[in-house]
Amino acid sequence: MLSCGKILFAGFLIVFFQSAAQTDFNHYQSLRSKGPVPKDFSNPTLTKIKQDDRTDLKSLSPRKREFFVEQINYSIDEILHSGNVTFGDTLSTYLQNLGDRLIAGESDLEGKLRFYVYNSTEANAFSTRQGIVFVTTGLIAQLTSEAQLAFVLSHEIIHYQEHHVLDLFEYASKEKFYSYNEKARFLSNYSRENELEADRLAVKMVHDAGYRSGEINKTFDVLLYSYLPFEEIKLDKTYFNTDEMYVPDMYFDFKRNEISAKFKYNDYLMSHPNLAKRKEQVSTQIATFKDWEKEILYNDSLQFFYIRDIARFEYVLNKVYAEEPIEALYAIYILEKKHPESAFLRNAKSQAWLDIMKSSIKKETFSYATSSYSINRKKTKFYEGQISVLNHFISTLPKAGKLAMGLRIIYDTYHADTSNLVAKKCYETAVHLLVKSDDFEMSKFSSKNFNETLAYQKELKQDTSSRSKLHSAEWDKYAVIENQSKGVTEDFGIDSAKFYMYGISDILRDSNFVKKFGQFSVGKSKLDKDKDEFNLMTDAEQENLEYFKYDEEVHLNMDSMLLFQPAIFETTRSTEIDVYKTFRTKELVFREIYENAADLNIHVESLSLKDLETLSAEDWNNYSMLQRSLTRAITDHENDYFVLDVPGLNDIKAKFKTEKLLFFEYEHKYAPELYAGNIALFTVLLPVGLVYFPIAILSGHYSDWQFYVLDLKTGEVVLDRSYYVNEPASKHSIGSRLNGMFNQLKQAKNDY
Amino acid sequence: MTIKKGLLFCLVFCASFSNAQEVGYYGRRIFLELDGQGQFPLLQNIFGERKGYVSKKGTLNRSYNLLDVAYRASLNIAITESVGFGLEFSQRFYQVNLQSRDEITRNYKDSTGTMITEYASAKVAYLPIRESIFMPKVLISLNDSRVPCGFASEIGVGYSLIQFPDRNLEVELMDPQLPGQTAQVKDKLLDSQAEEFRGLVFMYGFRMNYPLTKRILFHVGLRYQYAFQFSRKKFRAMEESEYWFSGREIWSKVNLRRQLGIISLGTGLTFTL
Repeated sequence: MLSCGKILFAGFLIVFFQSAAQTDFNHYQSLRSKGPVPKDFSNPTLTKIKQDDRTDLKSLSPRKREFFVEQINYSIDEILHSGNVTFGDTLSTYLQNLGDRLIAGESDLEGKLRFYVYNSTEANAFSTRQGIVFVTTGLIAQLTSEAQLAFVLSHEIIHYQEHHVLDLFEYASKEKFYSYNEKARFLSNYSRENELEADRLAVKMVHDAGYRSGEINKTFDVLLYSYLPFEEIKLDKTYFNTDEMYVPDMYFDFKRNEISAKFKYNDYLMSHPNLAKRKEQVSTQIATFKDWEKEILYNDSLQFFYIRDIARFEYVLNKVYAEEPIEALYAIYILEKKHPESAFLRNAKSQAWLDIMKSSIKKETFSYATSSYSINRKKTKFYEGQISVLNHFISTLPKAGKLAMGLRIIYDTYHADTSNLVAKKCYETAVHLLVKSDDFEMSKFSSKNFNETLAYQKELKQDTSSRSKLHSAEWDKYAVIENQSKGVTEDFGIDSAKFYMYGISDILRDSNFVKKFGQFSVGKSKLDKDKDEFNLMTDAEQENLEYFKYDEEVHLNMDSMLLFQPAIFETTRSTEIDVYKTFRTKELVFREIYENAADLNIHVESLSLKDLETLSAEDWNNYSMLQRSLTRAITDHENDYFVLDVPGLNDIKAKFKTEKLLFFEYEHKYAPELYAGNIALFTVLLPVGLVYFPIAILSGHYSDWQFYVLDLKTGEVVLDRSYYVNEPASKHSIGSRLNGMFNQLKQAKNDY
Repeated sequence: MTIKKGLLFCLVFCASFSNAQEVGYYGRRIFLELDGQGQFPLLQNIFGERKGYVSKKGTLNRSYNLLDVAYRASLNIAITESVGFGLEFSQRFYQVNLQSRDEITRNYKDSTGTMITEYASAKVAYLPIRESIFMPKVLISLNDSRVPCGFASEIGVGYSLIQFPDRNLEVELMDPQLPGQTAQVKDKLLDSQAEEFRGLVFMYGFRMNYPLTKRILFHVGLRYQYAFQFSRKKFRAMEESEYWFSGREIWSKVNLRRQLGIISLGTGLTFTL
């Protein structure tokens, strides 16, 4: 039993954390690393491999042991250096405290485990052989109590304690269909026995830490429904309504899609047993302990909901970055109920609507890339639960509707706080999108809002003298068609399906908007004119112009650059990473970058993992931020209307005093096309073989380069250039390629 | 001379190209290549010639026809990132076995118009050939490699001058009937009208260029070539000759030898200028 004093104290803490949370969440900033950099981050991979204590791997053959150590250290460092993992932040500190509490009774684990949060919308947790436990923000966002988190952590701790990863490696080694690499990366998929054992022992750990039993089995509900948003709240029919915009109820009246997930599913050939079996086993295990009611209330347990809100804010940010606006908007809708004044949520909402607006102007050209057979085609998502109502509303909006709704929301966000840089950028980009779109014609939108139009119509009906305006003596097909496009019905009523035609009248009257629209239209007219001129050219002229443009794209007049950690891989024939070669090539590439940049008088600032030991928490934060921005910018650079990260990028620009960031990927392998089959064939057909074998051997080097230049001022990728060459990864092969690239980047653009 | 002028014009024309791309190796577009070339004697030994004779300490000994080496020098220019143009001069040294068996014959009409046919059992040493080739060629890199670095194909058509630097071949009569007969045979051994031949070489090659320094690259690769020889009709008419090896015989033997030497291995250095 808790005393009154304790309850009061707990209440005070809740109020304190809630109020603190409010302040934070109104101007929320993404998770940031703080304090001293842990060894997990600052130790180079090769040092980790060298220092790895291999005593637990005695059961493996020496070759397998080395391979395992190399690959597992490399894989974990890939995760740690992905930009998604932070240290010293509120979430990781909380996880560490919780983890330490869970292992308090286990002397063999003390001081060995490190807990980090992994920023992702996936609901997942995994532990590594090195004693690192990762929990995703996506999982924390879905949980409903600290006890559930404690159970998840305990489960992962048991995997570590019982060396399950090794069982897994040995198991996978026997399976011929897995490559070594896949085996080592097969981290979070343990065998069924391992999973059940981890569940069983985790119950004891949670019990010993003093949590209630009722919450444990709920964890499986969390796992089952984690593909849904973190809450199931009915969408308010008036959510989108403002003084100016009225969205008819009928848009929210359709039946939501049923939630289909089931506990009992066929787990044949699956690595995990089905959740029903796990739940059943855990229930049995819970029953073996009788003293569940001795709940211990920890001070930082009160922080759980605050921690969860942080995870939920990260969920929003991740969904916006991942260009999944429906999920983002639904999450924002939920969070706005608790944090109505959050500028962060407003900005995220603006960006999500920009993504929706953008989808309405994507060119639908006929090509293989967009044909229904293309594997790159973005599949239409199927939503379940309450979010399907929101999805239905947005997906049924016609293009003009998406543009008008987006403009309405982005405009209101900007006018609520004109000093908000992101809101301003979103607004300008939205206007830009409207200009670019063929579906937005200002003249078609009503100059009166919904209510004003209703009032006007009522007035007209009452005024017998103007009745003729409503009912003409003869039908007029063409007037009806014209009216339909303006959201007016045949009998001169408001067409509810085109409610958005009556939602932006105030914006259209805003001189600032009209001016901006006009400015952008001038640019658009110039582009249209150029396009017309291009269409009138001969084939040869068109080809010349295209070549010229292609060449000029690289001329960015760069005499300084920020070099971002290049992604470099040396792979073997079977696409496994050759860890040692990879690091040798990394060294080589860095040397050549600096040498060639110095030769060409280009100043290079670097934000890379070259000198890991020297990086501060601030560097890691910049690194994470850029990693995230680059991923989004690269994925979407043909249609980049992403502005949420622009202030952050501008800060980096100011810090490094350079406007352009260079990022590149380089992958090399030596894999001549020589297999038993063709060796036998071409040996028999010797004259052919005399041609084939030398070509195969000499051209067996494959080097793949991908260069990107990100403009830190606008946040856009201004160059995306790839080269696929048959060259070894030698000093001067790499050097001459970089030299060529830098030389071109340094040149100024020419006029055609 | 006209051909040489034309080729020089080609080179100057290509050099005048200014391309917006960063062409060449470390920005250097003009490069000089020096190569050595060796022949795989595989095919001619399998399908072609019988063993011939080489002179060793005054006597003729049977030996495989293994001599086939060349040196090449070319001046090249990278026109675009992936295409280069070059002018190549090469000299190839090889030899041909004029005999099909250890016998020499000749047919000719003497001053009275009588057809005379003579036979002699003899061993004749290989006839050394020096083939000078002047070849414009195009280098095309595979995928996005940049000439002259990385894997590249080369295609060229060369004009060749086939000469015989030593026409005074060693001859050994196996059954000499008269003193001084060997000297007489040697005197009339090769038809003086077949002094030199001309022809074309169609070449396709590929090689891998490995950069060594910022100015020097090493390359290794293979070349396949088809040799065409001019004046077939002219030499066909030379069957009747007082020479033991008529113009027709020499032409066709040399032609056959050139046809068989289709694969050669080349290696060398590239110097950027």
